[in-house]
Amino acid sequence: MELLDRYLEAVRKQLPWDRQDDIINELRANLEAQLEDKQEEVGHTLTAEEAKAWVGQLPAPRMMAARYRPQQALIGPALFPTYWTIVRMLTPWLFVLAMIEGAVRLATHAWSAAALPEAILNGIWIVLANIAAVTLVFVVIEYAGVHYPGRFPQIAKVIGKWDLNDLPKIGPVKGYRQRTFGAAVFDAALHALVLAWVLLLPKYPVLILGPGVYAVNALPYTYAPILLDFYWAIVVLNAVQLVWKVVDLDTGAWAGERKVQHFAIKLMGMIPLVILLRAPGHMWILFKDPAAEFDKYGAQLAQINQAIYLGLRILLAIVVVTFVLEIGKWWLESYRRSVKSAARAR
Amino acid sequence: MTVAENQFENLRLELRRGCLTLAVLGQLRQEHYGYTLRKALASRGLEIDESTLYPLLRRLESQGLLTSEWREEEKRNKRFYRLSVEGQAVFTRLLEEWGAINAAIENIL
Repeated sequence: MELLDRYLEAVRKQLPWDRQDDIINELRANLEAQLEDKQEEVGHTLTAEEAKAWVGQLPAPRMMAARYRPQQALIGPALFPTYWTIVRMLTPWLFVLAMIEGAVRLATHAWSAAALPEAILNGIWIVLANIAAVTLVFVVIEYAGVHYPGRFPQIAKVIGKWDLNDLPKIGPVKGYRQRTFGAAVFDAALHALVLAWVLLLPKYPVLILGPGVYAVNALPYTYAPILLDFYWAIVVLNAVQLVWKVVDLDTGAWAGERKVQHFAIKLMGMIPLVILLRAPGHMWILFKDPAAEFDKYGAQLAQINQAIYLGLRILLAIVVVTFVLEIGKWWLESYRRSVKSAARAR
Repeated sequence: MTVAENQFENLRLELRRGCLTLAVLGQLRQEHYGYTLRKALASRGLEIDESTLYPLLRRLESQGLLTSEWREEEKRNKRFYRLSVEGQAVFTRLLEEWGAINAAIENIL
């Protein structure tokens, strides 16, 4: 029957090449015997339609062929738990490495519209390439263990080994610890002191520079006007924080986790950094008397400002990435808590 | 198929999978070729798909539990299987294991 021949040919193509003839010959004999029985049952040679229906009810050729192949897994069930544990432990560190690499890349290369997407893509590549390398190592171990069990008996031994000392300790659940009203009041009072100190800095720079203020005053440098904008941004940020804390004390919100406030303050905290980065000509330190000092200290000043620019960019990159990671972690914890609550409610 | 039916089907297949080898070894205490083995098992209440049974015979043979030979019958070359000596020993032990499991299940139920 032509349909049966075509079916067997479709199965043959998916069989291991060295066993194709043997398997197909056997399969043909079995299926032809089956066909004979069918024809005996209906009392005649199958018509075209009947043949189609009969062949159609056989298993799909790829399914028939698949069961003749040995079970294949890149990393089998014995090794997979170890592999997965390693990938889960490694991935956060790979992300940190990718972030540092991205921050340095952003800081050391000329800024362009493509710089950030490139840094992100490069970071993703670092993570994926390393996970692929770990996967490859485990695939090789699996292959050696399956195909050469006599040569690598240690593989099975290592997988089965475990140590009592590696068992996790049982302790209190990590999470938000509620603070007392006294602690909240102390926090607000301290913040008020910090704000007062910040407000005093322009008149009394010794409060931040200490005795070094005299050495700084002797230098031929002064700060650029942008630093004043930066200063007032810090003042406003601290004032907003203080007001928020006082309102929390009044409304009772001081007792809660205050995650939204925490993230809002962190986001606002980036504003002073951005203000600094927008300094005209990327100059934060200027000469007191440019005409007199430029020849002597011009190159030095350029280096100082360049170093400040590099440092600010790296700092901003780290702050942004840390913020994103923190938000991600908080979201994941909230999601897991909500799933567990829903499960308990059911 | 609903989720519950899907789940039942998966568990049913798992249960059957464990019994198939025992059934095939048991039936092959007499010589059969693939199709007659399938018919014999079906007539005793165990329907097995072609794509499950025929590859299983190959696998059991590669494990040394069956022996096979090609013979011509009714003008057609067929591969006949029967239990090997090792297969007979394994079958006896599996049968004991099956008896123990059966008894345990009876106790539980």
